Amino acid sequence: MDSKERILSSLKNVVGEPLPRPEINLQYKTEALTEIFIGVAEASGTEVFLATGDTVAETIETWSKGGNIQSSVPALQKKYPLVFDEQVPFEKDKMPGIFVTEASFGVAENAALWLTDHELSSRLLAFIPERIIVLLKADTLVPTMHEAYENIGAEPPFGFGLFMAGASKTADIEQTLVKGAQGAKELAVILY
Amino acid sequence: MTVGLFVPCYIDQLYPKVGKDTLEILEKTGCNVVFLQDPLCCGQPMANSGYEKMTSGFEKPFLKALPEVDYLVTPSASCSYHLSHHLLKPLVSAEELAKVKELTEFLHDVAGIDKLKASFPHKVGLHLSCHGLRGLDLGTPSELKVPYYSKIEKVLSAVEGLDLVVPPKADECCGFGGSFAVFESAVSVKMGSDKMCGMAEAEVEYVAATDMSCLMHLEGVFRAGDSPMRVMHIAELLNSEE
Amino acid sequence: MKGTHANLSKDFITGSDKTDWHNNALWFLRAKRDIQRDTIEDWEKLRSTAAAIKDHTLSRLPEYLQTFEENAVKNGMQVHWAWDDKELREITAKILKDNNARSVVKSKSMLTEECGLNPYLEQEGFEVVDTDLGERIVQLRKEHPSHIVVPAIHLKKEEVSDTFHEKMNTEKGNASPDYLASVAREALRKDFMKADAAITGVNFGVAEAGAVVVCTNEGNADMGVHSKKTVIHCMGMEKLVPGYDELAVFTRLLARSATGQPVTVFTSHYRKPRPETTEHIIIVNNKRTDIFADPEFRQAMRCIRCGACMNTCPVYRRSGGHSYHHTVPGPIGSVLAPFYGKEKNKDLPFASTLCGSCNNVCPVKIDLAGLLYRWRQKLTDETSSDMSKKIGMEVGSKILKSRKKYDLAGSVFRWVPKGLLQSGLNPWNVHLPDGRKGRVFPEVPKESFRQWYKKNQEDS
Ligand code: SF4
Repeated sequence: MDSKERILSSLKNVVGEPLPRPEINLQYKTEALTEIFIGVAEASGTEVFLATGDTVAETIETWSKGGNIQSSVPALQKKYPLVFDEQVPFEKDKMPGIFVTEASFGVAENAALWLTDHELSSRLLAFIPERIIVLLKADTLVPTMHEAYENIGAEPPFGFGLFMAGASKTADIEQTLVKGAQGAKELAVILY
Repeated sequence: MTVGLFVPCYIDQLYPKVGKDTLEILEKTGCNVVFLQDPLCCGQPMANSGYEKMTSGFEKPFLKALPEVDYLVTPSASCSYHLSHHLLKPLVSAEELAKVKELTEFLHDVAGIDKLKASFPHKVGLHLSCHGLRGLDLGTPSELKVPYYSKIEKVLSAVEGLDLVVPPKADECCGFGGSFAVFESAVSVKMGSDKMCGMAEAEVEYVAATDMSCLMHLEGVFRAGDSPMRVMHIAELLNSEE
Repeated sequence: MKGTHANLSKDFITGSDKTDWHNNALWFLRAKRDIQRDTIEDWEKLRSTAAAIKDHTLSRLPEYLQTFEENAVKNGMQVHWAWDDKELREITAKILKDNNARSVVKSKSMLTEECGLNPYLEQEGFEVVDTDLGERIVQLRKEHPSHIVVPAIHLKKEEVSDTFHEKMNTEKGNASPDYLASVAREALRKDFMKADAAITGVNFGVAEAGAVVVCTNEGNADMGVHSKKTVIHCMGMEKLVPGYDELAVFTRLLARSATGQPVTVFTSHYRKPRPETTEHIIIVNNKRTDIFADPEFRQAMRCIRCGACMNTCPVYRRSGGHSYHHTVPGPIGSVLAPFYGKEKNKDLPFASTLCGSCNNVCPVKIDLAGLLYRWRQKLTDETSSDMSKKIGMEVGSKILKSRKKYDLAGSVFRWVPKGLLQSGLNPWNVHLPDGRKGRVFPEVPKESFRQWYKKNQEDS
C-alpha cells in the first residue's frame, strides 16, 4: 500500500458522519469603502493618492521622482516599457526601480490588492523592485474578503494570484517594524 | 428557598472566615441555609493533576445533597466549575446541575442583593479569577467581543463606600493553577508577583476575587514581598460593616 | 528530570533578564489582536464559522484530499503523499536530486521544522537557507524557533547583532534593527540568486481550486517560488479548506489573530507552475491520522497555526518558547506534543494553569484548556509517574473522601508547628534566586470553619 492509500484508508476508518458545509453569513459595513480602504492602507504604511484618469501619469511621475519606471499596464507601456526578463530575474539592468501595475480590485477591510499573472505579467515583479505603484479603480473596491473571493471565483482561473497589502516588512528583530524586509520597500496606491 | 452551603476543604481549613461570611450573607438574603457537612472537596486538586479517577466517590455527598436543596452554593468559582463541568456533569440532569452556583452567581441570578447591607470604604482592586470569568461567565473576558457585563461588579454594588478598581489585565491569571503552583513554582510566583505589581500600580489597599485559592497564592506573594496590600474574598466584602 | 518545562522555564525566568521583556513583546501582539478584533462587527461569529468550516472539512477529509489532488494535478502541480517525517524528508531530497538542485531557499514552515527537514538535507549535502528573517536568525544560531509566527522572539537585538557580526561580518555592536535587516536583505538576495530550488510551507490548501496559499509579510516565499525552476510546497493534511468562500473566512482571521494585522502583506495563491518549472506539493501526515482518530482530540486539527494562543498564554509569555521542548510551543504545542512522544512530553500538558485565555483567542475555537485537562488524565495513566506527586494525591484523595479522616487530618494540621509550615520543607514556600522570599504559606487559623460551626451553630 502506498502512502496515499495508507493515509486515506486510515482516515476513512475513523471519519464518522460527514458534517454539513456551513453557511457563511456575516454582517459588516458595506458603505464608505474608499474611506475605509485609505484608512487601513495608510495605517499599514502604504501611501494612497487620489487621481482621475487624466492625472494618473502625473501622480506616477511625482511620486517616483524619476528613476527606472517599468509598467505592465497596457496603457502605460509605451511610456514605461517593461524590459524585465524572467529568465534573468536578478539582472540589475533589467530590473525596474519602480514597477507600475494595476490591481483588478481592492478590499476595503484590509487594503489588499488583487494581482494575478494577467496584471503582473511576471510574478516576480510583485516582489523584486524596490518600489511599487498599484493603480486601483475606486469602483472596484469590495468590503471584505468574502466579496473578494466571490470575484476571484467569477474571474477566469488564475495561475498565480496575490493579495498585496503593503510593502514587504518584518518585525522579527525585537518586534521593531522594518520596512522593505525582502521585497519592495515602498508601496503607493493610486486610486482613480 | 433552601440553600445547601458547600465549604470547600481549603476554605474550611485555612480561611474559615470566608465560610462564615458566606453563611451570613446567604442568611441575610432570606434563604434557609443548610451547611452541607459531608461534601469536603470537589476533587479538583487531584483531577487537575491528572488523577481524576482518584476522585471517584467524591460525588456521593453531592448527589445526596442536591435533591434536598433548591441550590447548592459555594464561595469558590473553581470548585463550582469543577462540580458542574467535571465531577457531577456526567451524573445528573442539566436541571440538577444548574442548582450548583458560585456565590456571586447565586446572588446575581437568584437571590438578589437588595437585602445585603455592607460597607467597606476602601480602594479595592478586582482580580478576575479565571474559572469564574471564563468558566462560569461571571463577566466579559478581555479576549471576547461581547457586550460588557460583570455579575461581580453588580453584586459588589451592594457594598457602600467601596472604591472598586478593575485594573488593566485584571483577567490575567494570577498563577495559582492548583498543583501548578508547586510543580511550576517559578512561573507561578512570577505571575503572582506581576499581578502584585499591577495592583500596586493601581494603588489599591485590597485585592478581591471570587476564589480564595487565587487569593491564597497572591497573599503568599504579597507577604513575601512585604507588600502592604491585603487580600479579601468577595464574601468578606459583602459581609463587612466598616 | 532536567529538561522539563518546569526547569527550563525556571532557567528562563531566573537565569536571564528576559522574562519581562518577552512577556511584554508578546502581550503587544495580543493587544494588537484585540484592536483588530474590534474592527470586525461579527468577530465571534467569524470564529464559530471558522470552527464549523474546519469541522466540516475534517469530517470529509478523505474526499477533500482527493479533490485537492485531482485539481492540483489538473493545474500542472505534482502531488506527493508522505506518511511520516521520514518520507517527507526522502521525497524532498529525491525531488531535489532529480532536478539537480544542490541549494535551497526555504520560507517558513513549522511542518518541515516538525519533520526535521533542514538537518536531513544538510546531512545529504544540500545547502539550505531559511529566508524568513526570524528563521534565518535562529538558523544561524543553530537554534529552533521559539514561536511559530515570530521565531526569534526570544532574542534581543544585541544577540542578533552578535550573531550577524560573527556570521555575516556586520559592524560589531551595531544593533539597529534597520541596519541588521538591511544586511540580511542583501545577503538573502544573494542566496535567492544562487539557489537551485525553493521550498515553502502552506497555510491553506483550497480543495476545489487545487491551489495552495502561503501568507508572509516579507515576501520571501515568493522570491524563491517565482525565481526557481524547482519548487516544493510542504503541506500538513489538515490545511485544507473546501473552496474560496471558506478561504475568505480564514484570510480574515489569520493575521488578525496572529500579529494584529488586518491581513498579511502577501497572501500568495499558487495554482499553476510557471512555464518550464516543476512545482510539487507534498501532503504530509506525520501522526495527524492519530490525532484525527481520537474523537476528543480531533478538534486540534482545526489549528491554523496563528500563534494567538501563545501570545495570550501567561505561562508561555513568561517562560519562553524553548521551555516547551517541542517544535510547536504554547497551549496548542502542549496539546500536540504527546502525540509525538508521551513519555518525553508528558510534562507539557501540566505547563498551564488552565486559565482558558487561549480558548477565547483561538480563531477556530479549539478547547485547548479542555484538551490539556484530558491529556493530564491520560498521561498519568499511560506514562511513568512522578511518585511523590502520585502518593500525595492518593493520600489527599483518601482524606478528602472520609469525614473521619478529614477531621483527624485537620486537627493534626493545626498541630504542625508554624516554623515547619513556613520552612523550605513546605513546597508552597518559594525562595527567589537572590534569597528573597517569593511566596509564603498563610497563617493557619485556630479553628476550621467546621469546628467553628460545630461550636456556634449546631446548638442554636
Ligand atoms: S490553537 Fe488556535 S490560537 Fe493556537 S495556533 Fe492554533 S489556531 Fe492559533
